[in-house]
Amino acid sequence: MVKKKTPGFEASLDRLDEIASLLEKGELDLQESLDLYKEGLALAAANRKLLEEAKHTVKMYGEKGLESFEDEDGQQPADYSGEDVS
Amino acid sequence: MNGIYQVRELTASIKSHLEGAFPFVWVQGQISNLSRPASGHLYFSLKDEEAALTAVWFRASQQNAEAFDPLTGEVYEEGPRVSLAGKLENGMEVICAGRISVYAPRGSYQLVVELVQESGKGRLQIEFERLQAELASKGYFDPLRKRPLPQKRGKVAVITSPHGAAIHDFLRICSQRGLNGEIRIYPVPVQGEDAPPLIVEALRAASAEGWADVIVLIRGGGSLEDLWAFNSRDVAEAVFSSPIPVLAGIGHEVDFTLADMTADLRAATPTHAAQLLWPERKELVQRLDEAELSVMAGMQSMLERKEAMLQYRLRSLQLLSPVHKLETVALRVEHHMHRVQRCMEWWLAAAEERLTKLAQRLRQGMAARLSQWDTRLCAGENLLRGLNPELPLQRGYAMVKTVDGRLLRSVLQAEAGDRLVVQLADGTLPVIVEPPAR
Repeated sequence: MVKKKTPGFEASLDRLDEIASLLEKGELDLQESLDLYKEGLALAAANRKLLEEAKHTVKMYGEKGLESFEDEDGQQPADYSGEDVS
Repeated sequence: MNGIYQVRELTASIKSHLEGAFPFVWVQGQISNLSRPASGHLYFSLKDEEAALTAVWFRASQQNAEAFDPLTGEVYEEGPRVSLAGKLENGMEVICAGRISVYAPRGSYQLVVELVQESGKGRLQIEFERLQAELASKGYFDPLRKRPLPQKRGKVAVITSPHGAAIHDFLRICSQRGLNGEIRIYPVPVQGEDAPPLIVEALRAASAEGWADVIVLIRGGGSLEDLWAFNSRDVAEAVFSSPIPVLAGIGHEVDFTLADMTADLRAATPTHAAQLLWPERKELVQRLDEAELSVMAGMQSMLERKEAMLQYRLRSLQLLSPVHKLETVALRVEHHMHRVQRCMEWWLAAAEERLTKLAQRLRQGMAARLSQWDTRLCAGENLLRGLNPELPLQRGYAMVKTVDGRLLRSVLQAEAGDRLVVQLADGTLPVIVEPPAR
């Protein structure tokens, strides 16, 4: 799951900070500011989606090279107490 | 609370603090002052070079035989072992688990023991310490040598057993953390004779592949023997020479192995390793929220500033506008007109007043003069009336005139025969002058 369109979470946060301080300085004209603002909101939304859908890929080196890996005792640990609602 | 405690209050406070802070604790030390009263409870002190701790192991917590390791939960395959309770003796090195309890009547605190495990130096312990000293002298554990985990750590090579709790716990915690990471598991046995060379091989393979940002070396808890693979010199060397930073989480909190002492970062457990590796997703959400809010706040303040500037300019413009100037001029004109008008009114009023006064004076002066003249006129009239030449006529005088009206003042002016006119008061008499009677 490689993200192409967004610049990565940390870089996105950096960009959002940058946008915020550019806006705060107030040296840009209105159109530039609006464009930046839109960019910021879009970036935040994209990253929020990224966070919601985040999933790690887990693979294991087997006899035939990299194989997908399923956690054996799988979904529930042995001492599973059952309070996990999701 | 007035600042002065009663003894029972202070003790109660200490009790709640201490017992709250240490509801369950592991303590290692040497047993001394062991006593075995008839009750079956065991009383002793745990001590090291600098401190001592009173401990009690109540009979109810002692077990005659243990079917599994109370620390790791590992079932003893060779059958139940006799509990340490019967074997305890002074001088024995043990690890005790239990809670701290404050005994108010004596103002003392003690450890209420639940579990005891022997920690005496066996062969492995001695070997461990020897190797530890050697590796330490080579600088393996030097903090200055250790690399921080890289900022970018989405690609993780995990070297562990694909079975068992460690990988499971690790993946479970990872699933709530980080963002779209990639995990590649290098399956290895984590105990037994085969373990060290295969772990070394996996470490080298991961390094050679060069794919990973971080290598994670994990294993669940176990006895010193179980963890021994991670105390091998070869494994420590492979960790030491790994070009990729190594994060190790081996055994429990209390377990230290040479592999995790050598690793760039030591986690207490596999779970902890996952926590050190990636930040919690909730935290990421929060950071994102904060960044987004600051963008919104930036926009808000930008808009407010622009609006203020606009208002300012608008006001300036209004001040400079011709309409405004005209209004100002008109205002001034009106003002001056008012003044002029007021002056005019004042002046007119003053003039009118003056005129009125003058007219009055004139009238008064005229009246005076008139009456003066009237008086003089009357006097003159009287005088004149007295001088009227016809007035004596009424008293019997007569005037004699010639026919052509000339008044005769002397007899010489008339000759006999002249016709004359005698005027009396009530009329005239024509007469003829007679010759003188001689």
